[in-house]
Amino acid sequence: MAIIHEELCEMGARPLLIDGLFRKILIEYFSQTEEIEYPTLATKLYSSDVPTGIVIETVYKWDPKQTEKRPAILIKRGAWQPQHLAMFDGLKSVDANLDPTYFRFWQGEHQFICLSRSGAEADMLGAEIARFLLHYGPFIRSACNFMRFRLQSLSPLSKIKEATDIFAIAVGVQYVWEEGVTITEK
Amino acid sequence: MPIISTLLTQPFDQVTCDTIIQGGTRISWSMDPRFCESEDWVFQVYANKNADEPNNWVPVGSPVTNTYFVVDPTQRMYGKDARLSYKVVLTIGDDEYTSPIATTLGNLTVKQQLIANAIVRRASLERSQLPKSSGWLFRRRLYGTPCSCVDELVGTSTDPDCETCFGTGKVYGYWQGVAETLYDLSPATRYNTVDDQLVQGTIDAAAIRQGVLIGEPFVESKDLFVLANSDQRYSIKEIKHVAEIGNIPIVTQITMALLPLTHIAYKLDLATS
Repeated sequence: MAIIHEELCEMGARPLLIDGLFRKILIEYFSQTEEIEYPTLATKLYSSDVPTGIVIETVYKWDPKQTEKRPAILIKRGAWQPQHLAMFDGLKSVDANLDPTYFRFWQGEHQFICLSRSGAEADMLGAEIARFLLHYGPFIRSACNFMRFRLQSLSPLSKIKEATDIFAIAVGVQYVWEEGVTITEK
Repeated sequence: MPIISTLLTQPFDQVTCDTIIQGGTRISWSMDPRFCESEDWVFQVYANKNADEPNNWVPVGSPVTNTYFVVDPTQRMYGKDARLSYKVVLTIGDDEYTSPIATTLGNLTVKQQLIANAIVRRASLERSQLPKSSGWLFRRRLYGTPCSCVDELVGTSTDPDCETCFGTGKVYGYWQGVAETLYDLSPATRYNTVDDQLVQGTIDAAAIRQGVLIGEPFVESKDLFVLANSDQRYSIKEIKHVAEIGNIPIVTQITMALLPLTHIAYKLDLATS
């Protein structure tokens, strides 16, 4: 977490960094039983070794060892949209050297896709993550310097065909942060 | 559950015979899915040489527990007579349930049965040169004692990795495995990749094979087939009756998908099969 926080401060939000941030947060949560509300899910803790009780990965990671391993939480980034502020491309201030600083907001979305061979377990997993994000949302917002971090949706259940039927639920979050750029003349 | 059970006067759904005149007739049965009782289900098969003549019922072997078929090794029909019939008596505690009578011709007419036998014989002969794969068929339990992982409110399993019900929601999950031969098993295909829609992560969508089963037992979707040599376990998906008479499947083509090696089905014990 410290590394992610450091990189966030240095480089600002980047897709890969936010993917990693959410993965880290979920891994920490599903690595211990104390805070998991559903007893069934508490028996499926994350492990970096094979086999893990639950897979927590980015949706684009190819890992043959985890082929169709369920339950799984797959992290998928949604669209990121710059929100332009007012006029003059968001010109906000000019410092003593007359260097202008431009600000803009970014609004980003992430989905946590919960997959299980049981519809009931997918529902439980979705609810567990949604409640966790509700409870820890203010902490995540503060730690990441987001201006806003909110649970956006808990999708309806859907079915996917694999070797057996798989049920999926997506938990969506939305976050907003501010990015400022100062242009210095050399 | 007991409320439903008490309303049922006939827990047997169907009793069928796969007849072999010189011995080896298999009497199999299926139960009404609504029938739920404790798991000590003791079945006794009786044979009657003269249809349903009273006082002519003789037990076939010893009682069996928690299974769905019995093989009668005795030749009971001689001459040109085919009036042999079977019934199954289920005992649960002090309760006894008697099945409808099944003739050795199943539910078919004599003519239909002869045609069915000819088809089975021909199918077996035609496929004698084709590769055969021996294995075990595990039929999924559709009824029985609900597992402790079943949610009381929604009545469905909350844990697909439960070692008691194997994710089926019924204690034991599957019936005891039956040795079966799968004919004409198609070659395996593999394509391990991240799914196109970016929803599932790493999958192997192409690990699907087809094979042919001849005669009984009848299979259903979500039953399992285990290949003997490789221990690869497949979930049966699509079932196509290549030949059937009077609604009874004679030759069945199945499409089955390879289960991931982390699937709970790999904990099914083959030693008792």
